[in-house]
Amino acid sequence: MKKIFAFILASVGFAAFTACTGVLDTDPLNEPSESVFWQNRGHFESALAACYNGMQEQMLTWVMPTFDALTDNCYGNPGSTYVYNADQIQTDNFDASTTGLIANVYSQCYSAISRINSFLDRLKVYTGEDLSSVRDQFEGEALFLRSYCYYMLWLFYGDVPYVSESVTIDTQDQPKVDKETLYSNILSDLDDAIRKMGDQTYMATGHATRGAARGLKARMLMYHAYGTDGAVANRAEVQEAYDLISQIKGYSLDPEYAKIFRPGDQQSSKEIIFSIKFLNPDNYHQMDSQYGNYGMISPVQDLIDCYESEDIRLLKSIAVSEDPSVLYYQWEGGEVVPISSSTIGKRMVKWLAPFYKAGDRWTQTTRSDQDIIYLRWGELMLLQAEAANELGKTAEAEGLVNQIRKRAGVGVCPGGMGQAEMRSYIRDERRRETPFEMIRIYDMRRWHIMDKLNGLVLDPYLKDVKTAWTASREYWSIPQGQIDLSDNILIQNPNYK
Amino acid sequence: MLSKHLTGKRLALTLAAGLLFFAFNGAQAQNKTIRGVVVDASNEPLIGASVQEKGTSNGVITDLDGNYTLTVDPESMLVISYIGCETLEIKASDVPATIRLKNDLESLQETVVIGYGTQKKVNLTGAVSAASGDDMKKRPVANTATMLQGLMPGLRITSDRGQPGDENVQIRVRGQGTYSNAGSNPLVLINGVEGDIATLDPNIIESVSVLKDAASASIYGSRAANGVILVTTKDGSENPDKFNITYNGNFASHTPTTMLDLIWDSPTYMKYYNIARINSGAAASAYTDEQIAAYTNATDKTAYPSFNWLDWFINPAFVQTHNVNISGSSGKTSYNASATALDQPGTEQGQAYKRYNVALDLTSRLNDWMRFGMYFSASRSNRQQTRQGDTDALLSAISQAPTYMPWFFVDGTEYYTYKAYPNEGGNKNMYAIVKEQTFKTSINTDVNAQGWLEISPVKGLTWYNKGAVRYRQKQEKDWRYASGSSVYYYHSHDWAQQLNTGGDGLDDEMDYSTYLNFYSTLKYDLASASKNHEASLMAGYSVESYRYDYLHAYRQDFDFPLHEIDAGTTKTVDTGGNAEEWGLVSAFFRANCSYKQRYLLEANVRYDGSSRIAKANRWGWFPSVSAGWRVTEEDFIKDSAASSWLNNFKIRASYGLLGNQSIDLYSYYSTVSTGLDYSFDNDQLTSGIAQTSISNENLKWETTALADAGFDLTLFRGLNVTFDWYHKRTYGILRQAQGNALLALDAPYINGGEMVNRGVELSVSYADRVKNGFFEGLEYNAGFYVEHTKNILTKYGSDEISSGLIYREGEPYGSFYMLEAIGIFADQAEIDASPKQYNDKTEPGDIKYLDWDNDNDIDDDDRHIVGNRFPQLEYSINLSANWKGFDLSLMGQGVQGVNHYADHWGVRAFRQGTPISQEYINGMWTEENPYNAKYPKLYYDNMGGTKNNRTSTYYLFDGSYFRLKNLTFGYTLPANLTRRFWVDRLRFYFSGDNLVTFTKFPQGGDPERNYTSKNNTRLVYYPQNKIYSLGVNLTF
Repeated sequence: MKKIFAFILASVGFAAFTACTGVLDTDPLNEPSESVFWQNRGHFESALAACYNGMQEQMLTWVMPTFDALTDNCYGNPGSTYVYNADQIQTDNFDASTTGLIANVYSQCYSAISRINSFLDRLKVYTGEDLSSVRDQFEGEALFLRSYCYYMLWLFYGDVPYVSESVTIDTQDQPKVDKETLYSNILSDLDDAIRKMGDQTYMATGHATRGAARGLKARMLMYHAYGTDGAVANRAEVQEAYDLISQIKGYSLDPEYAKIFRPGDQQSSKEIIFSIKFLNPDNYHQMDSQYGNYGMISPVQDLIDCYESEDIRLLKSIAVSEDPSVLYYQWEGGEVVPISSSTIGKRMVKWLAPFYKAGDRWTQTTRSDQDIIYLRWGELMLLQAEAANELGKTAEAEGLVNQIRKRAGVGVCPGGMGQAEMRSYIRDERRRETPFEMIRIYDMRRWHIMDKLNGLVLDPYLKDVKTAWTASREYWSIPQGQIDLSDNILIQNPNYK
Repeated sequence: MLSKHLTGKRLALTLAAGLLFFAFNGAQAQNKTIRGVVVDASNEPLIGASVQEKGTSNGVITDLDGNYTLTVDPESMLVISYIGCETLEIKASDVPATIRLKNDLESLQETVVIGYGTQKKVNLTGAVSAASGDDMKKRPVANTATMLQGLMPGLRITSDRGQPGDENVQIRVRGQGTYSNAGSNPLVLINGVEGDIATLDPNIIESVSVLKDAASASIYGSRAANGVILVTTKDGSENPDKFNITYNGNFASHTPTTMLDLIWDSPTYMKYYNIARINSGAAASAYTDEQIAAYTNATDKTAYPSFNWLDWFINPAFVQTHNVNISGSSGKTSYNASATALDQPGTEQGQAYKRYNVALDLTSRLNDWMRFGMYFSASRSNRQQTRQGDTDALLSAISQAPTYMPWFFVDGTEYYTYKAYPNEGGNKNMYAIVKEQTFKTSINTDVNAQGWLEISPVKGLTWYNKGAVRYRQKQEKDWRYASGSSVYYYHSHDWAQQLNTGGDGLDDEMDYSTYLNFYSTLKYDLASASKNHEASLMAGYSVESYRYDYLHAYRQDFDFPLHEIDAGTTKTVDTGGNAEEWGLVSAFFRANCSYKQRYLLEANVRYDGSSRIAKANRWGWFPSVSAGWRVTEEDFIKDSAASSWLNNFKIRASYGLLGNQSIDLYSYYSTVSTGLDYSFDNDQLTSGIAQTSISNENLKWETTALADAGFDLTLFRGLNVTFDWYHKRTYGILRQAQGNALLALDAPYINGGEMVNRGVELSVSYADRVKNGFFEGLEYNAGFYVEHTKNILTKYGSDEISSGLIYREGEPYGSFYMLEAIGIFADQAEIDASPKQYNDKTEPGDIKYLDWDNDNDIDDDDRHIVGNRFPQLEYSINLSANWKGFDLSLMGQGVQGVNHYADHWGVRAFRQGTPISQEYINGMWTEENPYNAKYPKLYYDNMGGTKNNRTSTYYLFDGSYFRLKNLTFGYTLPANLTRRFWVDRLRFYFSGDNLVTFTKFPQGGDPERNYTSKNNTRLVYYPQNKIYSLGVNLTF
């Protein structure tokens, strides 16, 4: 009897096998399937937010001060991870395999572009009525963001692939386009953006605006207008830039310079035209920790020497000490506190949140959320002054410069300067106004004064550092890893082996 | 041995037979009468042994005392036989007075655990290695996986560090099988159900089998590509009708196997520190003459110390293990219960590990056709480490100058030191970190319960069912209390900064998982009437399902050092949680047959369905076939002279397919990611969603085709030789398609990529026993194994170079690819005569590189493949002996022909302020001593900048080593002495681990490490442990 029972059990047990296959159907428990997305306006709003989130890449945002270490403004400690090998570029000792800026700017720009292209592709085929009132605005914003990425690629690499649609595994190997073609593509995208976006100010919406697109286009025109000898070759572009900036309305100089860069005050600033925003505690970056605590980028004497000693911009951007081993700084709140020493006695303090108080002590925050500014009215004013001067409107240029100088707490510029003198003065004023904002590299490149780096002594403490620059290596190599992956479709810049 | 219990019948027969033969003999004048005694190997008389004239019915059996008398023709052959002994054939005229019969070779009776069953070793046609739990237990180490080192060829166990509870042990069977996320870890089964070896109590391990080839492993199909390790636990049945209570205790001292030898004398340190700083262009950071004088002429050694941070931080650790075990059988039930406690503080401060295990195994024979059993085990371990990890703790402890102590007192209050002077390098104060309890604590619980039922309704048919549950839980707390503590300058007593705890607040994470498995097998044995044909068929199925959940919470601000989330303020919080699941359903079948025990044939097949693969491709077949020829069973061998010394010779070969399905759970599923949020108003976050990866619906298994051929040989009754050759080809390797920057999304997984591993294994052992002389009774066993594996990446795509490694078809995966450093430039003349190196500002004292492509220019084209990523040879030697209660065993293990990349602390001078060694001072380039320098000019921390930091063979070292892994010496008190006190066995022993190492690897780094180094890998990890221990085994 027991044996029969056992046999029955055996057969039942074996039959149960086929019933157990249910355990094989496992769907992911925390992520929605793609098939249920892109269905309504709410989804597109989330997707647009994700495009902005995609711009929060390091090289596109908080690593901004490091770009000054490519110029005569700063020095980066060699070997420090957080300098991203900028020191090697500054001494012309880099090649296609150099890691850091050269590899990361390329991949991070395309990473942001990829997300934007995916959004634009989906936007194009969506037919729902609920988007009709905002479709153009969304498209314009995406085009602006993408143009900024291409602006960086165009500035640093020159000839790169231009993609305006998503790529797949099969279509990812794209050849590069000539920088002139890239330039016209970017300008055409910006024209589309200008047309499609509205006239709101940045402070009102927090999104990209028509004014931002105009500002970026002006920047590009003011780069392209110069010839290789450093003089303006295309007056029409200068005129167009001047006109574009004149059309930007709704912004004004912030009465207090330091406020523009302080996390708590940026939301109400009338000067910021576009920035990438962050928010504690969940959406933060590491600017204070890397530039404040570790402090591997130091401003140099060559930069400090171009300021007058009472210039607020100097006082609020740089901390200086006679004795390099000990550095003190007076933050808001009135306390003079020691900050980490620098081997050359100078520290960047612009951008940094004042050390926060913890009990009796000051310490830097590990969750920074200052918004990183792409475009602000102060810098555009000086750009317009430069354009005005080139167009012969020296007096107008002088007026703009003096507004900036008044805000900086220094006297007006010397009167009666001719165009050439004014040009030189405006260049220096731009340098004074915009340290650590990725403007100096843009300026030095377009004015073709990068060769100043040859034989330059940045700082008395840095006598052994031999900065160098070669014209043929003005544009960076495309990262070697990308060339290797491209199956010979992507060709390296011929100036690099 | 038969008991000395004769029936009257037998006695009568003996006498009658004796008389008959006497009578018979009397009739034949040529016949001789021989008499003698038959004994066994230990000289015990054999009763009832048969002494027979070959081919005739003329024979007797021995009496109560083993004596016999027989009349035979002197030229005839006598055949003497007895159950359990080897039959002896000898010429009647050669018969000695005492005929000694040898026991049947134990090695021929040995059974080995294989997939879903057991098999006699002689009948195996696959490549299986086995080790016993007793061999493993000799090693007094805490991580049970490391006990398998050096025991079996083809099994490579490496571990990066000696951190208690987190040794990062890597197990590989026959090389690295794949480079995908699927991983190269073998499947580990405990009593047939997935489990973890590292935390298993070694005292309950009966044996471990490693299934190395397709024939043995394909029964596990889609998870067997990297080999299968089967662990079987004890069930108490070796003690019939009695029970034993055993206590095992081990008391050990752990010290590091190797430590950096640095100079902690302050004046010397300051002198070289200054040279380094000046050479690095930072003269402003040098010590002043007054400062140096203060230390040189110091009388107060507390105010001006030469503090040895390394010595203070690392101390011998006292480790103890206690185990109590009750096992035995009573009637139809046998049981094995065990409890173990381990307490292992670390040699570094702030690290500790405690583990508790309990296990119970019950087997019961319900009636003559049903058996039932259960196995239950639970382990709970508590690991504490300083929160940025043990290696970080060691490096922070040595990145200090000897010019200050970790603490100083002002009016009786203790303050933590930051530095003596602001210009010094340095890292966090480990004394403060430990005192402020900046720890990460992990509590792990692992509970396994299995129950099985075996039914044999008819003879030869066995139906086995097992159900198992495994529940695991981990709770991890990460505590940083930066706001609570400050560090100060040693001399001025000024406040410097807050203690660098790497963050602030409490991170609390809880995760748990449940695993269910049910399997059922039906086995039928059949044999032909003549017993010449034997066959066995087995069919079965298995269902597995798994679910994992985790929950995480974080709060940043705490007013008091209370380590619970609720004690923090809600100003800054972060939470997370997720779950995942997978399932596996399989059916399998095995058939083996043999003819006359001579020709063996086996076939296995498994059919698996996995939830990780899309429905269309979900199911896969994994077949294998193997054959063997037992040459020694052939008549022509049995009849020849060779049979006296050739005891067993088997040739075997196998081929089959195995699979690997350990890819990400949802890679074929197309999803969008949430959490890509952005705030447009600096007040609220807007939720962001986008696609971040591309999926591939056509994903399939990774398959490994494995061919194996080998032989097993036993000679002279004691010499065993096993040899295997194998070729393992893994294809369809699951890898992310190569995506470039434009794609930006995580590329999909595709099946594309192939890797080959091939090698040979040879193991030889000899066991014997001294039979006479002074050392009579000495049993000894000596053996070694050696194995060689070659790894080749056969299909990959374009070459990929990253971190000093190259992934190139035709070469081992991740071969070292870098510049070759050929010396140090002695002077400017040498620099001028050599090719220009990049755009560097090369000076005397810098590293000189080889112009490998001969283009008179040193650049990236001069990089080439150097060294060996994987060892060329791995070998092990073991010796054991026991005599009159003394036992000795030695195990040495070594690796030959491998390189490791190692950088930073111990290699770079003054890394973050760490002192240098005398060795570096003796070998560095100086202007006074420029020739034949081994190390570059002395720089501070960065070796002079990029020019000397390039990935090159300067940082590539020879990692070959030979290590005396274990030496155990013990004494068991005589049984008749201890039995007076009711003690069955009492043994005292000394056991040492990692005692002696021979290697060229730089001091301070242990050459025993995982084969995963690349540029920026450090030399120094938490050191492995050298162990001296004393122990006792007590059995009642």
